[in-house]
Amino acid sequence: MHIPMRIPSHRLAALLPGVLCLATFSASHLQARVPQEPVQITVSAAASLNDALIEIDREFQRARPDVRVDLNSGASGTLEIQIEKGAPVDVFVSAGLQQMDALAAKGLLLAETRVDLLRNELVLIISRGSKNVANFSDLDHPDVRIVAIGDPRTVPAGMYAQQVLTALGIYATVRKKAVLATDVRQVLADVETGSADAGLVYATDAATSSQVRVVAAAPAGTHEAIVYPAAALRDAPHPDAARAYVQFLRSASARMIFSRYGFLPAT
Amino acid sequence: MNMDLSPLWISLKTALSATAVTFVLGVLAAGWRSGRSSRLWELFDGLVLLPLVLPPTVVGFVLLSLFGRTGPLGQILWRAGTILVFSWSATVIAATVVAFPLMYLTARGAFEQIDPGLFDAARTLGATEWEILVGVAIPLAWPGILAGVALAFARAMGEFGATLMFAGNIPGRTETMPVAIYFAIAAGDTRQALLWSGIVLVISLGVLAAMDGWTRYQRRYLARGTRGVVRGGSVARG
Repeated sequence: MHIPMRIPSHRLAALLPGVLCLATFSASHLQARVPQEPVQITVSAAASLNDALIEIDREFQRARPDVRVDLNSGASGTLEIQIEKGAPVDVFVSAGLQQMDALAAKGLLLAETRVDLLRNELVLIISRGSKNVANFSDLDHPDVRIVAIGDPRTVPAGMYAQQVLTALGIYATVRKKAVLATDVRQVLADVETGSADAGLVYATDAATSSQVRVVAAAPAGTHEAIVYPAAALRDAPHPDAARAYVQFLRSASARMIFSRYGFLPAT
Repeated sequence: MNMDLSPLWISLKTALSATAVTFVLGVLAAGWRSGRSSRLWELFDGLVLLPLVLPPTVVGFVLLSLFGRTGPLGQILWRAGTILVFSWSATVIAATVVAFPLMYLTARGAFEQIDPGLFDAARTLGATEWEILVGVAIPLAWPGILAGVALAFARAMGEFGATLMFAGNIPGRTETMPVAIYFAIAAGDTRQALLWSGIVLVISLGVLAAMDGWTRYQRRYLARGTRGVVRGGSVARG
């Protein structure tokens, strides 16, 4: 017959210090053997920078193996709102000055880290198969069914598109057949699949796809300069790593990768 | 603030159209299906359930794959001169696809609640299957069918994921209220987002209240109607 053994509680209490010692001892030993968890920073960056930053992040990993980068891609407007609402972001790279200025006005930047990083161009693209669009003014032709642009309220590329179309006097007509996208890469996708007849994206986005054709670049003076600012954020969970990342974006190796994707340096 | 009210009208047009189509297709399919069982019907049920179970973005992706420029159905339509992607009809198609399972399942449940003896009785009196559906089954299943209609309408009104993918956001053409809310939030315009949410809430509550009142009225009517059928006379329709 099995009689269950009950250990009296005072005997258990006597064991406790020993157990604690053992635990602390092994824990510290484990810590000494396993390297420190790498610091994880979150970089919120405009959708158009996605491909270039993936490569740059790999280079950054090599330079700083103790820092791991989480790339959060999206429309600059959406990213700005995420930061304003308290999302734990370390670095912000925007496709427009507006979003960065808004954060600066709220005191959410580490002001001394802010820098104008890159420049870009706005172009008109059509899908490989279509032929009826040769320049911007063709967009208000009734044969052009759908024009894809980013939502001007959220997507800097959409804002620049609005500026160009307004300067050319065709914004009202084009707006009636414009499908608004959540970010510039979606505009690209809409034209690639042929769902939209034409779209306005950055030259760098157009370069990533073989299924679209660039037919025209935005005429000079039709939109404000497309500048990509970058900055570390005041409430960054890891401010030192954040600063290091922004510094790296200005380095020669990062600049080389950016230029390969068609981004021009801001200065 | 001079706010563009087009999402309201687009949503109402879309939801009402989708509900109408869903009602007809759902009731017909449920009526045909009820009481029959075969492997084929079970397969059909599985397919019908998919839009209910899959995330709406997947539904939108499937629609895009079918009706896009390079899709099988899209190519046929392209040659006929139309494109469904980014059109108002696309909002109706997306809403119908997601609402259909709700209508179909509810209607089928309502039909299968009816004593099949009543259908047999009608058959002995010489009624055709169609007359049985319209004259016996639908009136008896009416509260259930109405519940299905309300569910379908609510689902069609709230449809977002598939709509955004298939119909896109074209203000004045395909921007429904849920799409407007999403883009307003993305733009940081919480005021507009709250306004639209409020309107959607009011409409949904209105539909629920109307449905509730109608069901109570119908229940009183149905109690009288069933007695009429059992007595062997023709089904009285109000």
